[in-house]
Amino acid sequence: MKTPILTLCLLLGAAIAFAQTADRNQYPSAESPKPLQLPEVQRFKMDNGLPVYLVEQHELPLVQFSLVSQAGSIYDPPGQLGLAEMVADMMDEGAGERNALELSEEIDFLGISLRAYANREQLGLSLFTPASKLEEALPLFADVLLRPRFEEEELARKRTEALVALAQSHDEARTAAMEAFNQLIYGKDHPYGRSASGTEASLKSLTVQHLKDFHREYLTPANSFMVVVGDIGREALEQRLGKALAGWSGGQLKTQMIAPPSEKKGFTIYLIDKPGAAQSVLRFGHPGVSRNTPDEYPISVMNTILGASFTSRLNQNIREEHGYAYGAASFFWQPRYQGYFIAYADVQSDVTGPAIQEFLKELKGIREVSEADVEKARNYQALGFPAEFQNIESIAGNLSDVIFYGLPEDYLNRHIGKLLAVTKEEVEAAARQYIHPENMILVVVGDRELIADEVEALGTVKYLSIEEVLGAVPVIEEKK
Amino acid sequence: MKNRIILCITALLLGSAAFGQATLELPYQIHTLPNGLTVILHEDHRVPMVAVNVWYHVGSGYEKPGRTGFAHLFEHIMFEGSGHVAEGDFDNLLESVGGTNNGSTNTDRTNYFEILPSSALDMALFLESDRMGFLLDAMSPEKVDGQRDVVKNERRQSYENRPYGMAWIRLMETLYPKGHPYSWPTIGYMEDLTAASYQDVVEFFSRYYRPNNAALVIAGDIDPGQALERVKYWFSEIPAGEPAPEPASQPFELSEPAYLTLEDKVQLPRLYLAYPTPSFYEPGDAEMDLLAAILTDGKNSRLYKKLVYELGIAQDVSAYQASRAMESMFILTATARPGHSLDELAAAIDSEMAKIREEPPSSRELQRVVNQRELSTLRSFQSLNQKADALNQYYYYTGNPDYANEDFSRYTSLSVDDLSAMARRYLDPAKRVLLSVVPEGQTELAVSKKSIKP
Repeated sequence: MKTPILTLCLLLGAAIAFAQTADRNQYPSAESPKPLQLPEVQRFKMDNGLPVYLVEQHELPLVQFSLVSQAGSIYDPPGQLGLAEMVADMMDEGAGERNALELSEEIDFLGISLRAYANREQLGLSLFTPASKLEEALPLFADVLLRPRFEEEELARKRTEALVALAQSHDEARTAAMEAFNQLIYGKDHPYGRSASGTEASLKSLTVQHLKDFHREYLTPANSFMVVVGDIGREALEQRLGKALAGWSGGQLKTQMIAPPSEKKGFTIYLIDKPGAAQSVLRFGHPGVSRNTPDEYPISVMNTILGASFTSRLNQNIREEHGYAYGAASFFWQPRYQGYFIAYADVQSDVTGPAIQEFLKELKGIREVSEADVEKARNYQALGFPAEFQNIESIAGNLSDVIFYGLPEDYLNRHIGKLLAVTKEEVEAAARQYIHPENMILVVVGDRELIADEVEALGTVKYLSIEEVLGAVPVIEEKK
Repeated sequence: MKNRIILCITALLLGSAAFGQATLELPYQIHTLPNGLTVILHEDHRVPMVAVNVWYHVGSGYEKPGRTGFAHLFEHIMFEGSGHVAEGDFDNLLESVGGTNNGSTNTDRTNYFEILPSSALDMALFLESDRMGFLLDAMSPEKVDGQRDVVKNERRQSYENRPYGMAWIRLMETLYPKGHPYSWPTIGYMEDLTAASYQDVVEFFSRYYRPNNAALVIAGDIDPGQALERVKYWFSEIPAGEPAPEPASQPFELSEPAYLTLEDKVQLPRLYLAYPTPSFYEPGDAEMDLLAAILTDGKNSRLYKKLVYELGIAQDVSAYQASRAMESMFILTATARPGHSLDELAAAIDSEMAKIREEPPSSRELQRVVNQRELSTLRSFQSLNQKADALNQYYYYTGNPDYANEDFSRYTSLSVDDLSAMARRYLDPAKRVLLSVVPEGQTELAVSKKSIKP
């Protein structure tokens, strides 16, 4: 009878050991993730033609309203650079019955957030509010959208602010690097290449009439759509919006073809001197793809492997292996027309040359990836996607992109599946097609005296000054 | 319905107007393992994700002389593998299951977090427990060297190569007496980063990275009972350590204003004012938060309206209460527009500061900044990791993980007289640091002693 008892003891011993000591000899395997239940998108049009997209989320008593117009800085007329940003900046400087201070007081006192913004392609108005404050919040939203005052005195104030900000941008090596990068990729007058916030001359020439004209032409129901996410039902929403936006009508859809940038030939380095800089700002890149590229998913997985995750090759090489920088990364900027690819880091000045060589190595090396690289990258992008749905601002942002770029209606529902289906062959093909280290520019902002020799050894170098990129430091007229 | 975060909006009458006043709650379970690890669990099933958030109760204020920056350097080393996790696999494994992660260090604490699908909770618990229990099994001088270089570049990127970047470091050195735990920067001095050794890692880990000196929060799509079982499974074998030593608080008082000028590669001069103020959650701390908002948040804030909107002598002005365990500080910053000196800014600021000391703000001003504070809390509590971090923060500083409502009540219970009283007591022009950052060679733009009349 010994044997059975012994067996029982062993089993018990094993069970106790199992309860007390974790098995660390192999990595835990994750169970398959739960499916993400995407909330339904309700679509309707208001009487004035404004398309409205509603996602009801009733767990938290909050609502996000995002109005998006096709009205970004690409629509700035020549000579009026900075106009779209100035319009956005001025929309809440007095609207309807309230001057700038009164309006700001209403918004802040109510305990809501109401902001207008402009980027290259869009002008947007965003309201984040507790559901209990909708009644008071929506009329303020409507005032800012429909009835901005655009007063002379406020414009003078905002203009000075913008000019001083432009002066301050001369301090920032990263700003100079990105402005130079945009100009060199697209050209100084191209809608994606020129300054979005304006030059000294353009800012000084902006008038309230310019602002009013832009607002009238672009901020129309025909040229806009609205996304609403949060604790509100369709009936209540239709009724509230109908009331708040009464009288708003007309306009035309504003589309603008944007010419593709010229392809880069060879590897050219542009060095901008920043004496005494502790780091060299590196920005590598070339023309890329639009938001609607058919190769979105292979590009996304490929770029994750290259430079869009902590374990990406660029970050592992530049940061973890060599300690040249705090981090290194890459991304594809994908607007409606042709965007760009950029790889970047701020590296310790005295290793500028070696760091550039390591970048070049990784940009060439991405044409070969392993199955394991691909699996990790697509899982990282796909399985983490539900985190985007934690907050209503982010749900609204994701949905806005689908609408603005004309992506398929079920885009978000198919996103995870599409990412998980990407193969190694597709990733390598995307690398061959979309990453071209041999035809690329590199902008370096750093201490010329220290780094010029190293950099010149690596390719053709052209020298630029910060003033050539950003213009002279603006002259600010004293306020009397 | 499961226990989700409950935000009860109750209409209360406040003065003459009705406002939605939030009752903020973070329902939780708390457990202590036999080895002293505190475990806090919070359910939220809105998305199939979970946040795992660990606070170790050690920060740069615990560092020894000659080793500044070590708590933060150590944070970096925690991602480089442990006894059963090969170098690089910490991130490889998390990315493979769709997780993101990070950590941060301040004067009082170091936090680490993962946000990942709830089905992969075990992965985060394995990784966190392995570095808590077995970090030293995989440590080497080479790993210390590697992260030393990264941290030095973090310092270059965030301080040395950034306009006005060195101001913060000089401000702390001047505000706090030599040797005070908050007198050195969390990022550390270059020579101390150079000096940090493998032996320091061993000592620091053994002293502070023990389960009894940490708290683990799991917030998200969990069954609390099952989650607790998995925590026990992974963490129970880690032995407790001796109670961790805490830095001695060194109360101090400034006897006169301290002036300091720093030249930098900048276009415009900037003024920094720093006042010592009450520590986190102590009487006076909430008042400083609201005073900062009344002074600089929004177009109608006192200083923005005067300096930027009306006079146009400043490009920006901002203030905040930097709340910390031993001492807090109230920081005010303003950048002069071209053609204006810091003396001009300082005079305009002091005149507004005098007003708020002498006469209480209006009840509408108070209500405005409380309402904005409510909004930002509601906004942040959408995020699983921000809730997890809040539970850890409340637990560390107050002993109560769900201190959210008490925290908010700190603000709603204040009167306008409370604000002025605390402004008189702590925002004293005779007891502060005035740091001028000026363009190279233009020290005449710095604030001068004679212009300030305490």
